[in-house]
Amino acid sequence: MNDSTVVASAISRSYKHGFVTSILSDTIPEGIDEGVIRLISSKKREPEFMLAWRLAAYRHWLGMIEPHWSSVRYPPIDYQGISYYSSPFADNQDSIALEDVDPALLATYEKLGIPLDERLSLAGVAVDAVFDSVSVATTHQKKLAQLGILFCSMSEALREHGALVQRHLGSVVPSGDNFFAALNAAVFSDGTFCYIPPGVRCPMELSTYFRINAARTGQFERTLIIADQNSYVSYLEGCTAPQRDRHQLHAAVVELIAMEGAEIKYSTVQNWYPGDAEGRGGIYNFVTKRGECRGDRSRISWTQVETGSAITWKYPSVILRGEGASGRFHSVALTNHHQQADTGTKMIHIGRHTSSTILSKGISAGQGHNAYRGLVKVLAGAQGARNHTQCDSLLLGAHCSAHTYPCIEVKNHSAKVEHEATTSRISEEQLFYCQQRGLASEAAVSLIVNGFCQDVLRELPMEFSVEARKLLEVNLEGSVG
Amino acid sequence: MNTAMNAYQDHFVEHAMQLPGFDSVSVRVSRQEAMQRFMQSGFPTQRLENWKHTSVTALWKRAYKPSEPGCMGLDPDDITPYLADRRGVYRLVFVNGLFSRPLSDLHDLPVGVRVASMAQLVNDSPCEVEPYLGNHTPGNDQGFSDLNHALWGDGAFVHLPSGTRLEKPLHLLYLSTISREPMVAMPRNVVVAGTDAHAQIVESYASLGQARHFTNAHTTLVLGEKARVRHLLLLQESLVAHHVGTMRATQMGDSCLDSQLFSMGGELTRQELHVTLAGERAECSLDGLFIAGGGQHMDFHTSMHHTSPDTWSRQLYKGVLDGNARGVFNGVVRVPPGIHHTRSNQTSANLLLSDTAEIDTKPQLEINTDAVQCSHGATVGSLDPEALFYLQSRGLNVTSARLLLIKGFAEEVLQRVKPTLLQAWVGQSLNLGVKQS
Repeated sequence: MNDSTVVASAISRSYKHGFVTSILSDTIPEGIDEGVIRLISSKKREPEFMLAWRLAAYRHWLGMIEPHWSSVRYPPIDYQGISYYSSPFADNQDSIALEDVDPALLATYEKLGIPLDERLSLAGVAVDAVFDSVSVATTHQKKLAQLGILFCSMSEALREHGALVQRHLGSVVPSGDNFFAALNAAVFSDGTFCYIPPGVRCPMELSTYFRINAARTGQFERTLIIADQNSYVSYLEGCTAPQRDRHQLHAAVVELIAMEGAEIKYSTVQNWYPGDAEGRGGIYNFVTKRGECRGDRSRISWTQVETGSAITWKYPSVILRGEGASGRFHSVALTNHHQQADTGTKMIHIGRHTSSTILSKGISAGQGHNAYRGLVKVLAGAQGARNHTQCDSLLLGAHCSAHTYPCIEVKNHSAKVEHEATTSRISEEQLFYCQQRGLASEAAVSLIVNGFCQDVLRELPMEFSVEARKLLEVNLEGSVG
Repeated sequence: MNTAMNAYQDHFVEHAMQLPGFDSVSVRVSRQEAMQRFMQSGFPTQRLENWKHTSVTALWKRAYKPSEPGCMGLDPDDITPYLADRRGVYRLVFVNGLFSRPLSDLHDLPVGVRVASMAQLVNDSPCEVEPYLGNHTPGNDQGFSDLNHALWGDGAFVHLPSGTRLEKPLHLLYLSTISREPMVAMPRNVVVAGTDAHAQIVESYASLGQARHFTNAHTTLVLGEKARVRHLLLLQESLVAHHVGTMRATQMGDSCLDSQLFSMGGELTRQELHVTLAGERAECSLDGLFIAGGGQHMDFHTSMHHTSPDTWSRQLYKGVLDGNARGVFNGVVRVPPGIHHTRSNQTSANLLLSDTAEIDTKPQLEINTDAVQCSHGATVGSLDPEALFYLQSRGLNVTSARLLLIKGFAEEVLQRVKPTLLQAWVGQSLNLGVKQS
């Protein structure tokens, strides 16, 4: 795609996923109490231990106070004004064959570019499609099952592989970890479960596509990925929501577990509805993501492109427990109009010779607010730990802001920790150079922004990389010039 | 904690009339307000983000008594080890927080320059100092500043009228002596440099022997247009002393502040430096070196507010930590909306020499406009084994090789001290610090 068409398309397009699918849905009344939690649990026909776990989390949550230490600002959330469960299926019907799914629902996914028909879908990607509170369909399950890979919705996993889920659920993000994680543990409705057996290299990209459709609902899903010894998996997450005037809460939890020699690559392209140019509507994306390198030489990498959401507030983290484990975090966060982002990572070095790399690129435009908040912690036993952090911010416009809060705590003298950060706008020299080569100013800005993010975008799988580039251009619309 | 707070309040109530400036309404009111704020906020706890890594429990558990006059019996020879030079420096000496005339030396001060004891001045001609004694302590984490503003007993007042030059450095020396009961000193200093005034101020804190004491200092610097001030802060109190200090500087257009801090002493040290670049083209550099060993705890907080366009700031803080020492550096650079052409750089470099030493560093940027160039960096590491091996292969033993590398690390900050007289003097006291750790 040449640059002039990039600009043309950037200017003409707005949030293209903002449509609403009109579909009959089974939505429970707004509000939260123990009855609601029992109802969710019974609707999903969950094993007994889950209900107890949920109720314990709920009781813990009641005693917690909503945190306000971050730099994001939002009006108080009415937790009784949210419906905690909305399903496009009839009552007590938690999964059905693809042929029987409402055609309107299938059309929705086709419109989003994620056909659920396996013949039409991208050959190398298996998708678990989550619509409001439930998983609609999971593709390529049979093919994956031949290798022993379990890839299914969390509800299905709880029914079919209860013991495995019980052993690992909450072992990385405990149910009382933080306010939003506790809420999620109490009411989470679905999500994706994935288990890669020892020595298996997952042949295709696994992915979850989250779609919020119903109004006045919150989406609370929970993802659990376990990579057993010496296995490998690459996992993608995508998300969109309709354009609405009211804010909607999305409080998800993602847990990753990497055993000895295993590798998990987790990529996110987050494109929730960001609200309009005046800051009305949009999703509050308050997510807890954490991975644990439990075994020696295990690896976890988080790659995220955050372009949507009215507020993004999350810190995908890695606990480096195994010897020689490595964690990586690559992030591009773009805020335009009134969007706010407070994101970053935590790298906790516990094992010997663990290493971590952090590369964070923040772009603020319009009145966007972007904050990088990170923690690199080296415990006393982490002999020879190594960290390199780079976080750069690009400012486009006089009303935007970029904050950087890196925290480094080192208790081991053999550790080597480096941090560097810069904040600046696009220099006039750079622009002038591009323009004198014949690029229009918009095209020049787009080129420079793309170059700024290059190091992160190249970490994404190919299909997502193309998507992410387009998103960056769309979201900068109206902020250039 | 309440017992300690009440003890301070009781002292405040009982000794209100003896505190300097009692006759001035504005000073009295400002003391009362500060005391009220202190009683509300109390001593900072680790729940406050800015105090997360530093616990002051040990400080308030040791029942400090405010110092009283009469415990001074020092002669000029006793203070020689704490001076850079007997003659080439003006000096103002405070013992246990109170001004000592016989130990001070202010011969041939340039005409118009005012250097005096704050306590005397506020009693004799309060209108001269009142404008600078307002309370500027926002936030609930400023309990120590509030305590100082309520109970300060003395301090230095330095006023340089427009165009004056101090050719010799001015040394403000704060000495604490051994006493039966642990004592607290709360000096309050004000340095005002008028338009185009130049000065070099040395502020140093030291103890005689292993004195167990607490210093809670507050220094205000005001730089007029085109003023140039070099500020050298030396913290070398005893290894059982507690030190909390705050420096607040405000700079007008085209002014320049060069601050260097060297910290070696103290069991618990917390120093805050807040600078506001309030005039166009104001420039500020803050450099620091802290060397901690044993069980020392040192915490440095800097904040740089660029509230005018075209300003420049630079910070370089280096830490050397050995034994069970813990170091904290927290620096923030703030650029509000609409303030253009800010340039700022901040570096925190740290050396860990033992398995049990710890460093927590947090260089922060809060940028709210686009026409800026700001950067920061932080590193933590230990001595390079290859460099050590190289030096040993050239015939140095391990100890001298380590010492040489540590000196090399510290040298960058030391080099920034001017003039050479002071540089050599600071260098000597540093050597001592390195050997101790």
